Amino acid sequence: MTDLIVVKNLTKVYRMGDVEVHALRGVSLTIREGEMVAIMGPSGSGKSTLMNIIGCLDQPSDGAYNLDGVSVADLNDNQLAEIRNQKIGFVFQQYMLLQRTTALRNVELPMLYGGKGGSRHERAMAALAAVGMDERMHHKPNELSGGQQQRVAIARALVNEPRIIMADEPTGALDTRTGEEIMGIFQKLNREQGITVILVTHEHDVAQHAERIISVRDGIIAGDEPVQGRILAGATVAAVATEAEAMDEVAS
Amino acid sequence: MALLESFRIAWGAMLTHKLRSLLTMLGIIIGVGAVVGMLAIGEGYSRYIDAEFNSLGVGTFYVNPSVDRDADDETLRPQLTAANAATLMEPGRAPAIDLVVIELNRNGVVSAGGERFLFGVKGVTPGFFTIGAQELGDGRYFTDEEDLASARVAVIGQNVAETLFGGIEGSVGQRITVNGVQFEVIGVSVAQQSQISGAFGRFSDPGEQVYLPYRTARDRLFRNDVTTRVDVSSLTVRARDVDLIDEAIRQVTEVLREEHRLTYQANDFRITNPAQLSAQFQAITVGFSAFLGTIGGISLLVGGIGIMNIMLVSVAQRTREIGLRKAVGAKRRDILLQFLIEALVLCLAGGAIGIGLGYLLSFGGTFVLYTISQDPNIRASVSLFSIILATSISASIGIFFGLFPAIRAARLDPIRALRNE
Ligand SMILES: Nc1ncnc2c1ncn2[C@@H]1O[C@H](COP(=O)(O)OP(=O)(O)OP(=O)(O)O)[C@@H](O)[C@H]1O
Ligand SMILES: [Mg+2]
Repeated sequence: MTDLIVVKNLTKVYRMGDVEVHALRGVSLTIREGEMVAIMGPSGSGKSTLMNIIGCLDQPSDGAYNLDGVSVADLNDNQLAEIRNQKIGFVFQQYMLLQRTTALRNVELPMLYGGKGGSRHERAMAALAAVGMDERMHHKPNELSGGQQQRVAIARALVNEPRIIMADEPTGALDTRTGEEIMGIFQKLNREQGITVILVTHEHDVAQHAERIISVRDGIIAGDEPVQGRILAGATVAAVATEAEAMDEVAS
Repeated sequence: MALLESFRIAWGAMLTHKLRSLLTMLGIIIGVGAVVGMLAIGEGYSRYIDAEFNSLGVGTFYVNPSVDRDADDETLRPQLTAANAATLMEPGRAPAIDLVVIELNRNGVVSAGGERFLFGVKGVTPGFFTIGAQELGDGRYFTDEEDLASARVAVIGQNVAETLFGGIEGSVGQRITVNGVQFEVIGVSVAQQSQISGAFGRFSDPGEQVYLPYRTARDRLFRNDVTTRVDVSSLTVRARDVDLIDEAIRQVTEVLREEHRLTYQANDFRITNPAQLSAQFQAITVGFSAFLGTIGGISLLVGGIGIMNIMLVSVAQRTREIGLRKAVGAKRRDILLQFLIEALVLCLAGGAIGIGLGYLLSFGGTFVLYTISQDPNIRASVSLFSIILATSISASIGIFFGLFPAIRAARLDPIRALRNE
């Protein structure tokens, strides 16, 4: 498998007046295509900062970052936006759906800024089907449960067929059972479509769904180990598996 | 991002905040309404003035025997005669004119055998009936021959006919006496009074007049009432062409001064040029336009600032949305365009309502203009030009005042924007 993400000696310094905050102090790591990685660590350790840089939302203060063979530091704003649009799908703790807009339209959003061709409508419906939300596509976020909203958000992250899905605390606002369902979806996407999944979590149970756990502490990597006894989300995954085929049909 | 999509989003955003949007647009609505209404009413008024002056006769001016009050010359006495009129028409004297009409205006006791009435009596040369808005109800006008022969024929105004004979019909051929002298009625004039003729001291209603050949009136009725210096009330002079009117006035002045043997003295006659007054009346339009234009301008400025304010509020409220859009691939340009189009849609919607308000104002203007002109053709109508103008103004305001908030939105840092609560 190829190295998708290669980070070397990454630092990030925030300046707030006279105070300098070293959020990252030399992070090096490699994530291969098709991996499912969990990033863990105490609050303020720099997880989100790292995710933002890997997700091309932010640039490091120093260090090198290669994404899919491209040196991200050399890219301008528009090129970064294009990478986010084409290669990366984001899932947030707070779902971040447009409130007055139907699930379908929410999923269509990334395609407004560049798509892979084909009918927006059909692609959005296929993405919703892949997360088991096709029957609720005309509902607005306030008519959906938290878990359902997060599924719509995952569909939105999927719709442009990204190489990577980045999820910062995707289950943080959900109960255990619903969180388990969401993790099942990530595992399925990782397994069946080969999408690289990087997620940040505080919960050990959630991290156990990944293949590998990277621990961050005070802006440096304190540990990087494969998961022993990986949890596979069972029944719930099977429930949405059939819908994945619908997605594949449209995509092909 | 597709422009159409931006317009759809903007339209949706406007409809979700109907009241807020309407209040925001208020300045634009009033401003555009004032401008559109101003243009419509100004145009209508201008047409009205044109029509009024045309009814006085195109390219004509008046000469009266009158001394300028400011003339510092005690010995100067007014002077103007029928002989002057004849001289003006002599070949080569005043080549820029093609007609001189003599008027002698008096009052007379008029009767058709029974009751006696006081009416205006106008002794005029026949050319009088070729100038301005004349209309014959029945019969004919008198001729030069009849004038030269001091024939006892009369054209009577509509009201005179009604008073004496109960109507226009049957008036022609009747006999009347004016100050005891017998006349045959040969025609009835139905000319309407011009609204602004009073501006020239011509308050007489044409319907209340008895028109006699000038020489008949002078020699048979008012012989004791004229002098060798003044035997006319006024001359109406028509220039060969509207553009020649200034030249004609110059020539007439020169001939009359020569005839009256004036050297260093001031004129002993006065020339009135309606075209100049027309310009003064038109100037009222300018004042009116400036008034409404100022209201419009201030409203548009206030409206523009209102738009800017609400767009800044909107950007602040939707910071997370902007962050999200950027995260999923929106470029600065996309965000800029989205908010610019939102401001544009607000302004254009306000402009559209403003044009509607302009129509309402123009209806009011039409009503007022009709009340004073009694002419249904004089209307304050909204022109295509003013609609295009209003639309461009609205669009410009949207872009101008929407630009700053849109730039602010476009520059937001996606991470901070996403974290915004
Ligand atoms: N925009 C910023 N300006 C200044 N300091 C910042 C900024 N963003 C993060 N930091 C600081 O950088 C450090 C790392 O923050 P980061 O958000 O990456 O932590 P985290 O590991 O995601 O924490 P949590 O688990 O609470 O989300 C913290 O000390 C934080 O205060
Ligand atoms: Mg964090």
